[in-house]
Amino acid sequence: MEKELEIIFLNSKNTEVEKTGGGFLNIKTGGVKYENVQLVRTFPFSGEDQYISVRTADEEAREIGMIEDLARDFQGNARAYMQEQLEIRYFTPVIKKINSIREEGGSSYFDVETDAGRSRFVIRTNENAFIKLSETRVIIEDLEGNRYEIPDLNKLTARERKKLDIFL
Amino acid sequence: MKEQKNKHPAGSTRPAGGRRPGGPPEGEGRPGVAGPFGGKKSFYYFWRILKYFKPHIPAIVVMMFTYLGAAVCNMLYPYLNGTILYDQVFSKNPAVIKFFKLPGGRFALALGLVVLAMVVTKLLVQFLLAVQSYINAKVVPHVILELENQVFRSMGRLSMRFFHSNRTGGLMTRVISDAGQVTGFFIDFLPEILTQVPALIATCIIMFAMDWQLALVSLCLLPFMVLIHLVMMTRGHILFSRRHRAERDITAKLNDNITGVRVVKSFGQEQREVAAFEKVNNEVQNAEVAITANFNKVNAAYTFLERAITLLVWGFGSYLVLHDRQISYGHLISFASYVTQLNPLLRLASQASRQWAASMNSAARIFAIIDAEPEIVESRHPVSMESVKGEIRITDLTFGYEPGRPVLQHINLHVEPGKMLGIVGRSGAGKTTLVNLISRLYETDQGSICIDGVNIREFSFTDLRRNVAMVSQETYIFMGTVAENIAYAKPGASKKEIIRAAVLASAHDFICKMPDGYDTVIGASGRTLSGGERQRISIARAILADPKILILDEATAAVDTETERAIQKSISYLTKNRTTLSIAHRLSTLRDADYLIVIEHGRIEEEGTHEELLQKNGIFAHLMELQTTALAMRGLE
Ligand SMILES: Nc1ncnc2c1ncn2[C@@H]1O[C@H](COP(=O)(O)OP(=O)(O)OP(=O)(O)O)[C@@H](O)[C@H]1O
Ligand SMILES: [Mg+2]
Repeated sequence: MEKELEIIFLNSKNTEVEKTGGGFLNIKTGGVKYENVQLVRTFPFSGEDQYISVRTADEEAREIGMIEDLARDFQGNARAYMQEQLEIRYFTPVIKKINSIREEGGSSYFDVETDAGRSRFVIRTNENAFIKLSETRVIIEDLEGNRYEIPDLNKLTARERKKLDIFL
Repeated sequence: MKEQKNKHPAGSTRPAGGRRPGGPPEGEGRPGVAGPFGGKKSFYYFWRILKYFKPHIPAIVVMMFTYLGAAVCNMLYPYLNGTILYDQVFSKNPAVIKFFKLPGGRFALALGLVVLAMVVTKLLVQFLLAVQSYINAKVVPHVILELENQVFRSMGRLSMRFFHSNRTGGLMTRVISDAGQVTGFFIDFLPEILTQVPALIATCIIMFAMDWQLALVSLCLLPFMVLIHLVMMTRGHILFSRRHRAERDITAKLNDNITGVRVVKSFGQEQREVAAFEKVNNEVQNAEVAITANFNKVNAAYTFLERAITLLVWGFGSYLVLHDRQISYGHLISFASYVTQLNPLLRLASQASRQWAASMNSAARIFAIIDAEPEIVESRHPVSMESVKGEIRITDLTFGYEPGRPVLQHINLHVEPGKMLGIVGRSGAGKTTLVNLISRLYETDQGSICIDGVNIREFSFTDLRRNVAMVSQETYIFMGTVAENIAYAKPGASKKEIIRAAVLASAHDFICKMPDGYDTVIGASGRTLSGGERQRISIARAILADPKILILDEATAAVDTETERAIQKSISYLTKNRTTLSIAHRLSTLRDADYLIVIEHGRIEEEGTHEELLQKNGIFAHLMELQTTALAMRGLE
């Protein structure tokens, strides 16, 4: 098979991971060292730490390899460094409580409590700002591209759900 | 891509399933045939729709009774309120006492009784209305669901020809509102009309008999009432937008299936699509219940405004009472109440003809789809062909979309298992038609197509779909995640398999660049993909399907040269160990073909290997020369 069509899987045996002073990751695999690599979740919703694509820092973002299962294939510091990188990249506050939703001129202004503190954000009322991951799990993407997660709609109070009703 | 359909104007004018055997009479199933009060056909649809309500007969009988009960109560109330209360009880008419069999002079008791009767009547009406809206909200969504599901199932059965012939897009996106329209008419409107028309006539007669001047005054105010009604209806904005959202999803689902019907069929996924459709449909059903509830609120507000109008009648009436005592006070009260009741009745009557026409038109469109006969039927006793070698033999094949206009004539062809056949020809020569026939998306007119020596008519649909997959000119992306789209032909494929297929299709990189990767929702109302991206998704789909026979119809048409090179690599991997039929305008794409045919005017004009055709110095050599020159010129720029 052609080389480009093969998937290279990275694991602790064929890959060294180190953290730079600036908080980036350098990776050494197949005798080549890559600096400031990017970690990309290929299934950010349905398989968070599985099938992570490791890519070069340059514009081309070429794939260096994939990590099939971070928890299984890496241990210790390497795993922790990578988990940290992913956490930063995919930071999504979880909405604990909805204080209010105000609709004005086609925009909806949310005031919510999240696990990272109180937050206010704006979405367009009629655009699909809600990504339904399942019947009960929802991601809200605001106008600036920030994301908020509601892990379980059923855990909200009836009043909170009613406020969300027109978006779902 | 999609414009492909527009290239066939001839197809869109064809009546539904023109040649199907034993279907309903021609024209019966055609959309939009019922005009306003469209004659006999309208009544035919009327009866047919009635049948859908059969399971709900008990509910509907109850409903009729509530309408009747409410009408009777409404006729009774003004009488109690005016004539009895004021003219008899308040003016201490001894006849009342006698009537109630009360001891002499006990007018207070009589008053109590009359008021009680009035309150009970009012409460009863409210109760009956509540029962009505309850039944309504239960029955209507059910019938709609049933109608829509039937439409959908029949869409799954139908051949490609039907979709080409009926300008599906425009027709189908209306299926939803059509079903609602029809059902609404039957459950909301019809029973009400049936009970209210006599009430309307009775009320009018009573009013004019009581006082013709007052009657005229009250009728003058009617247009104003209609106006208020219209204004009120524009509220309920948010609920409608919710339903709209749900409907948009469902329309998207329908659209997916219509534009993608070829893919749905060629991967044998009709069953799954029906299930998916039922799910979105349920969502609309919920929104619908909410709307019906809201509608009742609007109605209540409307009644309130009606009361305000009644005041005007009161003004004029009081004037009459005070000045010439032409009528009594109780009389006026009764009259005013009748006026209040008249308005909704008239509103109903004014809508009758419009409702009827609109509903029967909708019914016509719905039955057009339900009635269309599937042209391609699965063999009753299919030969078991779970895995095939992939040998194709076409013998004396002739086919046309319209009788007397053959698109393909006397095609003879043999492709050995695992070989690659290149198909070349001008646009409109019939290349796509040929491969569609091999996938049995259309039925051959004459001649036969065999796979491993077995006529494809003897294959079960499942076996055929499993063994023949197509990457076509039209790429079907349905509403769902990238992963779901790739795993279309193999639901339940693992993440690893999906990624592997995407990598082989050179799709992995662009997918990773999307913020949600393989979890990104694409399709109708999701993220839009470029032509090349869609095409690579469809290649990944075919890779995952792993068929023995692969059809590539302009698989690299929508991409730039660099991407094409990448896809080419994927394709050469994909074509290994399978029989491949590849159609391409860019002849360089067919370098690897073991054998080539040139189709011109529906016939195979030339065939042979690349070298043989070049030596022949015919059409192929000519096309080759043109393209090389074109390429060279581009190189000079
Ligand atoms: N559904 C249809 N109904 C009626 N005529 C059709 C239909 N589809 C195709 N045709 C006609 O059949 C002929 C062959 O069409 P076909 O799509 O097979 O051409 P093609 O060789 O694939 O062209 P292209 O290279 O542009 O894809 C054309 O004249 C076309 O107008
Ligand atoms: Mg074609």
